[in-house]
Amino acid sequence: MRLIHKDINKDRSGQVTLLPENPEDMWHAYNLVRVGDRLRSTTLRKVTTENAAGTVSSQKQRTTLTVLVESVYFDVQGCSLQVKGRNAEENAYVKMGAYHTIDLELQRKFTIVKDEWDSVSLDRVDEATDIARHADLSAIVMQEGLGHICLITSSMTLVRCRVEVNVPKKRKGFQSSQLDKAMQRFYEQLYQGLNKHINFGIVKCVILASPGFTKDDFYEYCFRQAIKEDNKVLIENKPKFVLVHSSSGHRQALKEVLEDPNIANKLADTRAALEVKALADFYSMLKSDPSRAFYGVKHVEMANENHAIEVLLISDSLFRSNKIEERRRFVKLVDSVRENAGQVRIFSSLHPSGEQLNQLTGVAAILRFPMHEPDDSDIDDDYGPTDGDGNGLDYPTNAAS
Amino acid sequence: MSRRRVKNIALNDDEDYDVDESFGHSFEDEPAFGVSPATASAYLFVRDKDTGGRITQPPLPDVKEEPPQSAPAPQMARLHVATAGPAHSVKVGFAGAVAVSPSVPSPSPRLLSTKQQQQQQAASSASNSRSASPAPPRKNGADPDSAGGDSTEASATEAYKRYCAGLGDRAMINLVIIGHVDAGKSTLIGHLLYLLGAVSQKVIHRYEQECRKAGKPSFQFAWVLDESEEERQRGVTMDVARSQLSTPHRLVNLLDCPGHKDFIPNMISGAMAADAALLVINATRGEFESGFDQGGQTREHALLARGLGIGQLVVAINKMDTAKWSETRFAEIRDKLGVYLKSVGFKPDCVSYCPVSGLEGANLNKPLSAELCPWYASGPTLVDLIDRLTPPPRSVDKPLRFYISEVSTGGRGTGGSGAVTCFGNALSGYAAPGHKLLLLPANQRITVKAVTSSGQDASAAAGPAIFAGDSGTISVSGGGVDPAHFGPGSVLSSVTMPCPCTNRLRAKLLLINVSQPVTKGYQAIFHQQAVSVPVTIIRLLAQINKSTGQLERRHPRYILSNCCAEVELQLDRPLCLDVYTNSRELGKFMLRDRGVTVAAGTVLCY
Repeated sequence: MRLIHKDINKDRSGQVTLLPENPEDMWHAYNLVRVGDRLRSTTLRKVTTENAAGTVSSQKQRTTLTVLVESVYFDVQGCSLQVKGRNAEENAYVKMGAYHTIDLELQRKFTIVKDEWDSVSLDRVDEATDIARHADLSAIVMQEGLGHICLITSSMTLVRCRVEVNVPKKRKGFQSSQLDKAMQRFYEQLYQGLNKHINFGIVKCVILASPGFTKDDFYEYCFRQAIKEDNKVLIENKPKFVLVHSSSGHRQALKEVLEDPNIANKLADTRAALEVKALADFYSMLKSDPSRAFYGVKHVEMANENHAIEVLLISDSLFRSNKIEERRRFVKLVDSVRENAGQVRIFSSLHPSGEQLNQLTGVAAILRFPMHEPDDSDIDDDYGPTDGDGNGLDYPTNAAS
Repeated sequence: MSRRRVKNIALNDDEDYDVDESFGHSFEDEPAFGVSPATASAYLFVRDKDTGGRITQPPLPDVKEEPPQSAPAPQMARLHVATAGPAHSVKVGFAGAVAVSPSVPSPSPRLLSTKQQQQQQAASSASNSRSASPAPPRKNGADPDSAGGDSTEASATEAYKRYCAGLGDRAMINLVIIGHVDAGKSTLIGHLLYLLGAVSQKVIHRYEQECRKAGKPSFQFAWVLDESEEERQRGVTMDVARSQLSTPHRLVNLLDCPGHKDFIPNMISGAMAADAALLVINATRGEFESGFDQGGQTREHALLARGLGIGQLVVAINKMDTAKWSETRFAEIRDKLGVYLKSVGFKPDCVSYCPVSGLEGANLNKPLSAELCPWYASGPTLVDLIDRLTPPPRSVDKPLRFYISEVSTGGRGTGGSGAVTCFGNALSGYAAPGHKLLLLPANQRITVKAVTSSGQDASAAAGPAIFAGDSGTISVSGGGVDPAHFGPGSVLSSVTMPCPCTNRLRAKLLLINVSQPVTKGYQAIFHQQAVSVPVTIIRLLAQINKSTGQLERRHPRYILSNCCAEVELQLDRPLCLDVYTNSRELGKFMLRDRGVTVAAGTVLCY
């Protein structure tokens, strides 16, 4: 993302103009645009004109619209952001107050006008416009009959493709050729998925992970096919393939893949790995000294009042709430932890560790010193990331089926 | 469906539990598949909303033990298959319409389970005039469409009688072979099969030559079971291999499991079907220690076997020839293991030990000679110990549950194209061609076309049928059947008492070995029978004392290793499961994460 223009006043209102360059920028934009903001961007509008003869013609007209945001929708698989709202500025083609849905496009700048730019949003703008290149990885976790092809960027883990084939187990008197045939079918589908979904231009490393010997077999199959089909792209990228052990072919195995020391150097600056480590630290603290590891909003806030928080783990889905009071509450928490010389780690909901943190109410903290836990019966244990109406938050999930 | 947050934590657990909106789709709520009022009384388990959806039984009437001879119609038939040799007998109970002849010996009291008592009562209350009542939950003979309720029941009992008679004086038992990698499981079993005549000399000779050519000289016995190219090439068992052998008093279905850590999911699916386990230990110095360490599979396999409900264990201490048949080594291993197995939960009298050598074939079916091994010369051989295993009572009278672990479509003796063949185990009940069954979770009605079973050879007289405890195949007829609905994890169940199927459940977990504390949102993989699905713990309900079962903490924030807890789980997709008290096989599961078994659990309700 490129920062074109930034103008923030003393009262924290202002506007920022950004230019998205790759799909990940759309995720950053999704975290920035909130209900009640104003979004200005060029967009297509279907304009109907009636000429003197009475014939009605409609055509698509490109125009710049400013929209008062009412709802934001992010499609994970396609990484596209759709913002719906009412027109807030005079325009030649669109009436004031008319509804319009802006579909943000890559390589076209947009402007966000907010009444209050909090520290978290500004941090996100900084992060999105950071020019340091992060590693993009692709990982294929598989087991016999099940495989997931995933793309791991610094703030997203997307499951691009899921392959499930019924592979028969061996039986008495069963020709093993049928078993092999089924596995070949499975590898074939994975191979096609690999070619289709992995963009070798941006991916630095392709990880093949499986329990047992499946990954070795697939590796050999892949390159045999590549040679047979004369697939130059794949053959050139052979050094990018890394084979790693995982315990299963389910999505959860991605966490293990990211922790593996063999690829740790390749992942060194990936946020995904840092997040996984932070969450692991939290759990180990919970195991060794439970009164120094709190989770849940009330507990963490109570700990914060005593200036006890050393590391705050918070999920970005909490900042996407539609209720401004909630957002303010969490921003206040983040700011006060920073003031007290604590670290704040904001977890992206699209990474597996972020999902796990979301399940754990979305906010957790490692404390500097042990603190007595507040009485559980007063605390609302079911608090979790929600939307404004108190429904379970429908944050974008990675279901790729 | 939005999930409403519960604002105030109610002190009473059950009030949180809003059955209708939060629970997965349960089949009990479906408009019944042609259940007639008569069979409705067969629904013994009532979803009581007042108790928060917990499954409750209707209050049990006072039941007295009734010997079959004096019972009024309908009568309780009990088959007592007397066996020669060790005094074990297979006893099953029926609520059937067979007039029992006075020569049947009196039943033993412990066999009359609560359910059978209820059946008796339900039967007697539902219909007092007819001799055969469709009211007691039948396997699937009580298909409401069929008018001949009487005849199917009579034929069921007859079929089972003939089946047991055909088995002769042998009882059937499922034995799973477990142990650390390279303990010698496949070789031991291969050699045993060879010695008992199940495999011919020519085959072994051929394997020997192939092995030598492939560069793996001592694998010829293991190749009897490891049939696939990859297994032979790598020298490891990767998937469960089945075979059968006959000992003097038992018909044993063998399940040879992989020992490698990565293949434990396969081992779990094999062990679920088993009644007893043969744990193979490598006696070689250094190997036993590494297998028995924390990272080795000896511990994990024993733990899994216990967690899956296996109560009897035969420990074969293998490769004694490398340990020079030393008694001290044998005693050392036996004592170490004894302590561990006792801590896992195996009763000491259900565990037996014997030294063997799989490669040489020593002490497998012929006793050891005195000069080779003086201290064990008169001890029982492996076959003797297997012979003494007790088969558990088979619940043939319960509604049919046939658990599918494999599906293949088309061809090969199953009735032409379009037919779907399902391989699996019958967990309870019985099935024969012509029966109408229900496929879950797809919720399709199908008709059985052909049945084969592992007990088939011995029970040819009984006609094709599969009974509880057998593994075999059921082929279903092609018309209107979509093969895509069949898959591992599906259950063919009786139409009147379908198997419950849900994706959200309450369970009791025993945490075995977790590296980090378990909190809300913990993700693991749920292993049940032949399937594994990702699962998330959505609520921690209570922490319970492991031994006394008393409540220790309500809504704990986290749970550590070696604790017992009640939790709420959500699966990624619905599975067929049942409460543990109804069906042991369907109510048990394991949770694994990162290649380690984390917890063993039982389903409390759904």
